[in-house]
Amino acid sequence: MSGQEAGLTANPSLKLRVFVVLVREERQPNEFPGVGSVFGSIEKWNWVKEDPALPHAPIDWGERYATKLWSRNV
Amino acid sequence: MKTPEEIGALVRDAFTGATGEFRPCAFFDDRLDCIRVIARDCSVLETRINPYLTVLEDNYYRETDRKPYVGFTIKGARHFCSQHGFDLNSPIDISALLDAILKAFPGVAVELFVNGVARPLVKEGKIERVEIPSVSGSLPHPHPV
Repeated sequence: MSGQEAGLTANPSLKLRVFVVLVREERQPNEFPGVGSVFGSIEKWNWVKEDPALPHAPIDWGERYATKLWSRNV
Repeated sequence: MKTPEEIGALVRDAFTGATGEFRPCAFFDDRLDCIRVIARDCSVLETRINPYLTVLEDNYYRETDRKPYVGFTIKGARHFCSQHGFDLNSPIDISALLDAILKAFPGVAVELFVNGVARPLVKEGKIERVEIPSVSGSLPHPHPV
């Protein structure tokens, strides 16, 4: 879907903020008609201030997540 | 693996006929155990007040004459409400919930959040109650086959 469809407007990404998406893996994949197997769900998404000590991560990432699995700045 | 165009078509199909005008609302997010109060639908910045409270700010309010704060979330809502004597079998009065939050988390930041952001939002949006199912369920998405 392009940014101009359905009344949407494409904007440049916000400075000093990161876009956070929470994704949940399903314990067992569900089958949906016309879609197929679904292995996970997007729970929510939003902008959050960027952590000053770890670029590309949300602020207070150490409190938000139990483990750092990966980051652009290891 | 579906292409971006196929995914776009699926999303469009899923929302066909389901769109309508946004209304200020409060609802319980069962999977994340949090109450979400949304007064305006827009791109937002989430800022944590403490591990339980988050305020939602319009990312583009400076470019308009709109107010900056558009909503908030209360995490651990089911546990908090149970601990503070709310009956989960009936809708919860948000004003009473905010009173309980003030008592539970004394401090300037929470006081500013409750009295400066949350109360005005629920008053202006006429958002009075929120329902919390007493038994954990699942998201109201289409049933799998």
